[in-house]
Amino acid sequence: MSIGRILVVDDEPDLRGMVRLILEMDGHKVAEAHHGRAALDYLNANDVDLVITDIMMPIMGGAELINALRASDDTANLPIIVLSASPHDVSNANLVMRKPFRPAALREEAARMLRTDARG
Amino acid sequence: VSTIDRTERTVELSLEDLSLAATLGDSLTDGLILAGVDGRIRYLNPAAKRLLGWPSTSKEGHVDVSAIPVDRATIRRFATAKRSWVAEVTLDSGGQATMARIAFKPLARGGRRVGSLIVLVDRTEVLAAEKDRDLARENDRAKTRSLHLVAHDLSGPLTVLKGYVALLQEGKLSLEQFNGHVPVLVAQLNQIQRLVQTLLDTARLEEGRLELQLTEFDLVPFVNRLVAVMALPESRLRIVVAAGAGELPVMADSTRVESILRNVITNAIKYSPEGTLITCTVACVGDHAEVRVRDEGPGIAPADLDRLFRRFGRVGDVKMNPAGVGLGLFLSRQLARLHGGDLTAVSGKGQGSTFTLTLPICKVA
Repeated sequence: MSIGRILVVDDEPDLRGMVRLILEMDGHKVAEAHHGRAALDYLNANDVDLVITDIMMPIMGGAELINALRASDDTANLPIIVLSASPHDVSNANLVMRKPFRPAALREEAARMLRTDARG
Repeated sequence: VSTIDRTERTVELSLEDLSLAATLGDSLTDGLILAGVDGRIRYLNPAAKRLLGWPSTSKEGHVDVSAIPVDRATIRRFATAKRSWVAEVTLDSGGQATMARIAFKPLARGGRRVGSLIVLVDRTEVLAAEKDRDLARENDRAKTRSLHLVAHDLSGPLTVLKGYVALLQEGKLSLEQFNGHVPVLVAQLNQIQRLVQTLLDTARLEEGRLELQLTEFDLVPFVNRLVAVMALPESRLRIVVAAGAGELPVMADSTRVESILRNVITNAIKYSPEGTLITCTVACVGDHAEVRVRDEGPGIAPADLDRLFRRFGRVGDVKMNPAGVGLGLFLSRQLARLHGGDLTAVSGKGQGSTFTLTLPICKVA
């Protein structure tokens, strides 16, 4: 099992808390951001192996966050999972999971992303 | 030149032309005008007189087409056009603007111009109907959008609830660990309940049968309690009870007032950077109690500020009303107004936002 550093981006603190709990069960290190802008600020100062993001958020939504990440050399290949109730127009994420999701499915997909991390 | 002129003048609309026009014209609902080559009107039907705002007794043969109450460019075209044309115009029908379509056709006989035919179609009702249809369509789209937003806003708390229950079922959480998360689950259930309440209230409002449950209570401890249950980080929220406020008794629906303030405070939290202050001021202003919620967020552009209180309005396509299905601020304002108060916002790009709820104060006996 690959253990990774994962950034969870969602505007609902209770949802972030639950995703953190699920991911920490597998030993991952989890950081949280409450919208896209906060996520970019965090990523400027920290390395992560996987981003899990919501789409509809205040200040900066998930689609804009993903575009910004893909446009930067450092994060162009960073694995991204979208967790959203209405994941429209998200073509450049590695995986889209619909809310509500099964915790076991999220753990499996996170592990798979970390194994096949394209950045090598 | 004068020879040609004389020749053209000798060719005129025939009596047959005019009597045919009169036979048709009297029963037409569209305006019909026949003019000679000199521009003089030879015949106009009752509908044309009505559309032009001319008295029904006005006589043909004495008026020129240039008297038709329309813009100068159109008048010029009456005189100069060699071919048929159609134009949308505004007629000044006796001081009242009428949207009309004008169809112009030069009439010729034996290769010679004998006059012109002008048809006037009243477009007022058609245009009004089109506008109604557009509005209905926009309303439909807005309702569809709101359905998406309802689904989205419900899916958040549902995801948390289903997640914890699944962890319990899968044996990833012991019952004891699960119990530790019960307050979070209760918060999600309350959130779902608030969303359902918002939907119900909005529907009732639309049907005009939303009723307030009024009781008398003091606004100061009420706001303090609300802020406490919203469990904000202490560093972020400051409550200011303005001098002279003391007791602020209001006659209000406490559930609805809570929903309004919760909505406004939740927005302030979501739309301002972490670590910035949210100031909640409770004061007595004139004969009104006032609760002001000020944040130090990015602020709202004037154009967006206006959209904020519309139904289904989310500024800049982002999530504006966490507990509100895009209905939150719309409903909040309507609820405040039902109380005889109001909910207003003041903001500007880069200046933070201030939302103000006013409620009438109960007269202390």
